[in-house]
Amino acid sequence: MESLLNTDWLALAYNELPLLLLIVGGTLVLLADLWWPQHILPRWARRKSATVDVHVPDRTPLLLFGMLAALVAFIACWRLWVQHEMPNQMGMLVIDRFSLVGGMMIIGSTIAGLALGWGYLFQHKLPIGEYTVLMLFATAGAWCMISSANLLLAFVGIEILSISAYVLAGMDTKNRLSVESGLKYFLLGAVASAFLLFGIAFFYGATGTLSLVGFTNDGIMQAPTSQFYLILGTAFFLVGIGFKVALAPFHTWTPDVYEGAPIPVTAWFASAVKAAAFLLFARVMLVVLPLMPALGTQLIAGLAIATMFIGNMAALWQDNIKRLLAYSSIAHAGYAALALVTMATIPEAGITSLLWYLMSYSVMTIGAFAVVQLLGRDGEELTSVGALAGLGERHPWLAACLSIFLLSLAGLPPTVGFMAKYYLLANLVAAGHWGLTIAAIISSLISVGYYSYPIVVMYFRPVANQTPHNSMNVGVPIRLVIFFAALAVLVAGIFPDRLMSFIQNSVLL
Amino acid sequence: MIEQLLQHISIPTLMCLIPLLPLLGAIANGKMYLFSTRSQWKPSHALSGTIAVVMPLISFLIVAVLFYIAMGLEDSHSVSTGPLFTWFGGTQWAVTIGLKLDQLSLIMALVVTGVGSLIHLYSVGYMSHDDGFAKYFAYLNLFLFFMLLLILGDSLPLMFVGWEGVGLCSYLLIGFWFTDIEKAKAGKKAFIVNRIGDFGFVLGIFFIWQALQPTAQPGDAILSFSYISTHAAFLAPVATAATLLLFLGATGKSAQIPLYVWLPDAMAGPTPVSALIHAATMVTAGIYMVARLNFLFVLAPTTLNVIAIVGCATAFFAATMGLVQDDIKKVLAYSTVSQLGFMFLALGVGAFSVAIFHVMTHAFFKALLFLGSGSVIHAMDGEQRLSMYGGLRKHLPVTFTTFLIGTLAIAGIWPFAGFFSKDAILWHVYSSGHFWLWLIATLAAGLTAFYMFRLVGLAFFGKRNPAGPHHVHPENSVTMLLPLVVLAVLSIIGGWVGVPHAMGGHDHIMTWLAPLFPTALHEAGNESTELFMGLGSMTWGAIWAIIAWILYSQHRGWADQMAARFKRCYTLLVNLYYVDQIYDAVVVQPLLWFSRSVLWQTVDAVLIDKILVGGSARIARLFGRVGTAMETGLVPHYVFLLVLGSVVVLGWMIL
Amino acid sequence: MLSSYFPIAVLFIFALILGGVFVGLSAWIGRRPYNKVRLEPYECGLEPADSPRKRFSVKFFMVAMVFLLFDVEVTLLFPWATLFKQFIASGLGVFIFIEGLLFIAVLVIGWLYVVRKGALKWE
Repeated sequence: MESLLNTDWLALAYNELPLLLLIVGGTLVLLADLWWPQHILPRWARRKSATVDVHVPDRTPLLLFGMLAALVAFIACWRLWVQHEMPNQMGMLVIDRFSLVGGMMIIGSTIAGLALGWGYLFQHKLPIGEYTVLMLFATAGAWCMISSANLLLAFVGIEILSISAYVLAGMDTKNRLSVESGLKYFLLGAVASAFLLFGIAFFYGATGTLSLVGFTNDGIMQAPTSQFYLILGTAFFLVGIGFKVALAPFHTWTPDVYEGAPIPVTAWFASAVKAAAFLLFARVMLVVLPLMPALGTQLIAGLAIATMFIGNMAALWQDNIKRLLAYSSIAHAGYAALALVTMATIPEAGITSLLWYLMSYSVMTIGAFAVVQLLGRDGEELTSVGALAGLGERHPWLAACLSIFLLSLAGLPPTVGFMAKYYLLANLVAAGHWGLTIAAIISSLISVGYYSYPIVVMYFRPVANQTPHNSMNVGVPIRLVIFFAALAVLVAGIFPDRLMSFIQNSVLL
Repeated sequence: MIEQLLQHISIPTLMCLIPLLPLLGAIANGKMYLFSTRSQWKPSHALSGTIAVVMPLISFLIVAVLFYIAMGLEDSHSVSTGPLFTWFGGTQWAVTIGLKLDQLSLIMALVVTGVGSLIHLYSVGYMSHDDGFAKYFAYLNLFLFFMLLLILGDSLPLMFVGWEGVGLCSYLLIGFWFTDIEKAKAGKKAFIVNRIGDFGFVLGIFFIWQALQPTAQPGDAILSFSYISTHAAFLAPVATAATLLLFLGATGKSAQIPLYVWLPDAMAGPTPVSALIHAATMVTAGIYMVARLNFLFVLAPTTLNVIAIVGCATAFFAATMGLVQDDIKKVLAYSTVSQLGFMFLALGVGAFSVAIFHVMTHAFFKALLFLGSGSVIHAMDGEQRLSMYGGLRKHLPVTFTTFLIGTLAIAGIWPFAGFFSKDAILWHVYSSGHFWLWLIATLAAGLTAFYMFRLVGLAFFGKRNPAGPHHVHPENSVTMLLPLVVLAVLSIIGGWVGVPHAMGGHDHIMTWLAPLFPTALHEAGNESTELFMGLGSMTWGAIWAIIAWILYSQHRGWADQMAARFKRCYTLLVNLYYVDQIYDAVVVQPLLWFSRSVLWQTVDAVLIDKILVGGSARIARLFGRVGTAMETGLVPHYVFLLVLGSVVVLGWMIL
Repeated sequence: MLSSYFPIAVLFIFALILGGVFVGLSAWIGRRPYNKVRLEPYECGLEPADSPRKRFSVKFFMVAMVFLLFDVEVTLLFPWATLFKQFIASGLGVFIFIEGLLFIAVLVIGWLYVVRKGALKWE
């Protein structure tokens, strides 16, 4: 209570401005959505014969407001990043550059996700207001995950994020697949959450505290039972978080959920949700790994290899582009997990390469999904790779952008994907894991096989039936997302230096 | 607003603009062309032509302004942007990107942008009937961008980017009319032959990098020219190997023995391209590179000797090949190869500034000659055979006059530009004690005068060949004539900046370049000897010129008789010493055989395709089956897998 | 330490014995007139044994879920109430009051959402 008396509430509010903005923004959108006019015309002017659609008012301003809130939160993150040289812990939250970079990454993905919803939601008759609200709240949850100094708060964050995500996945209630994906995600996610909570409970048993700072207190660690509890806790935590980031063998939900969920949601899952889970993973591993170095070098390494290979090899069989990208997302989780392996030996390098990897992966996967979304027509999503045939002729710029994203995902220069893999593997080698590096390279070579498949189809397969131009009456925002993502992929791939120093400045442990 | 804009105009921003403006033009024209391929809209020639000409012109003005500024600078006469940003790097070293204008690159940039602008202007008239007008200018502007990058780059990697970029544009422009299979093949040949040279260039860069890496402090841009020059001492052990490899690169780009074979074929491109890329600018990149790295080459006397010998041999043999060519552009092509040989000869004897001087004057008169030949070809409906010409001086008076000026310049007649630079080369070769090289070079200079006047005689004098085109189009395009006149003026006065002291001049260009290059490697010769030799070489050139003129404009029969008399010699020359055939038999065919039967049918088809690629793909897909088999879509199965996984994890953790 | 739980244990055992005795007695003494009505556990209301796939109106679930949510959340006000005096004593009265208000405000927003979405409408 003393601490409460002495708390400088203004400073706290200032430092948690992004979180507050997300929550308040989300609440305002929620309320505005409730009282949004149900009809464009007043009651007396409505004719009964008119179709319902004419009277449904567009709720896109809500989306715009949500984007604005997220944008302000992003800028607030940036301001805080500039001001915070040193970590600053306040209660259960810790504000440091690591979490701020993560926050920017996730909020950025959210902005992109909201932008992708623009037009799409209206076309597919999805609830715009709730989409915005859930995205913002989920982002707030992600914020709690990545900037928590306390496992309980992290768990609350995970749950906020996950429950919003379940609903988002199942949002398209008219689409059987979407509903199925939402339900599957929920059922499996609940199991995983149980594992996670169980792990956290064991952590508490081992250390007597839920604060991540307490982990380093070796006094508690001396007792043999607490050592055992710590092992159990880590194992359960690993299972739970492994599910969230989709490490094999806990990845099975990914293809189904990614396929079923509406594309903007999928894009956001692959970027923001994955990044948030990985950053929490890293934060916990940062304190656990020094206690159990073998965990990183053997168990996580094994999971990473399994994930990479399963993801990449299964993707070879995919003809559905959403599933293909889902498997690619699994494989990339494997690569990112390699950064955690590096962390066991050289923490700074590991975190740097993790941030690099997540950041670049977010950008390129959002871009790829955005292009796929843009190609959908008449309220139907484009799913089969074969439907891309002749795209190189019909939409050369779009085809070029998709190729850039796919090449970047495959890790070929001069894209950011290459740079991310390069730093990742270079640090892995520096940590002495030659075998892992070779495995990663082999699996990456396999991945070129399926990433090049859509490119081949786009450019070298003639259009089967001469369909007229796709009806691409979607708005500007999605084009902006594609444009900026492609630009970022290329610029950061050719001139990675600025970004690299930015990230390196963020990892002051 | 404008004031704010003006605040940003500083020397570095201006320097950045120099290459960026042509790039902008290239993007604009390329975009317009791409757009026009997919729609009914066609970019107007006026618009794309204006963009294409104005961009290099502004660059030229900027270079001129910077030249003026640099002249006023007290100590170094150089301006630099410094490292603009780091391109890539490791923990120990970095590659930064920056531009630098010093005495050497200023001259080159002036020539490239100046002559480049003129040739752009000329192209507007020359290409006016072509469908790929915008595409052509996009390539041409892109070429200027890369060429300026090559010249202004302050480090080897950046220079290499420009080096490869100009190669690319050269390939694109040689094969510009790619529907003609021969022209497409010529482009391919140029590209492949250049790759051999580039291979050497890259290896040379690696050698330098390897040698300098131990000396680097973190963050040092070890491949920048300033770093290399200050750490040249560390390079002494590898200097010979590195410089030889770099010189291999130069022989590729600058068409020297043994890699000169692509340049005559490169004449397949539009004639202004031959003028700009394959005469005035790109082919001099090798000379620029050697001059730029002179501090490295002087560490390797062996390499310098090799350069001198190769240059001299190229100068002579190319000149002999030029004697009998029937294609007007081929004559000029061999002449270019020969002149480039002269420049390398100058480099080889350590007279770097003389080589650059010749680069400059050569750019003027060779561009002029090419544009003149383009004018002739244009007037003759694309006919390029000299034997079909004759008596054109009445029909094309301006072309004739300017062409004659260019010919006088290249033949080394006082007071035209070529006289001063060529004489300076011969003088430096002689005074540095290379008597035999001097003798051969002098002979080559005589041959130069001969074949050039043969060309003039055949084309402009005598009677029209009745087999040729009947109608000669009059020259009336201002955009084509203006560059000719300007270049003719430059071909006259361009050499006056380098009038040697022996002839009462001040030799401005040598003084200007002196700080960059090592002071003379040899004793300066006697001034009166120099004067005497200058007179001698001019007389020598004039004699050959007159012989050629008599033979080919007055008594054409005599020439045929001579060809009949020295039949063997003649066939040898006409067949270009069978070099292409020898290369084909010794290099190309065995290589093709090896690739076809060993690499393709055995290694590639069986080992790689069947076993490695097919096998590994099959294995990968097999495992993929396992991966996809996990996706039953049933939640209970998923939960089962999850629990199974957790058991594995738990088991590992506990055990 | 365990001794403090002894009364509870006694209570458990007593309850078990008592319940066992009554059930045993009735089973031993009582007659057994078996018929359909006799076997039904409830005399009115829903059928106890029915198809497992029987459908309920989603409104039941709605109300039940909303009830559960609010019930659980309101439970969180109990610790708040018990600590209220303590907080006032240490001079944090305003703080704890505002905290409570915020909590209730969140509940109210949720409730507004439920009402506006028509989750409680029985039509």
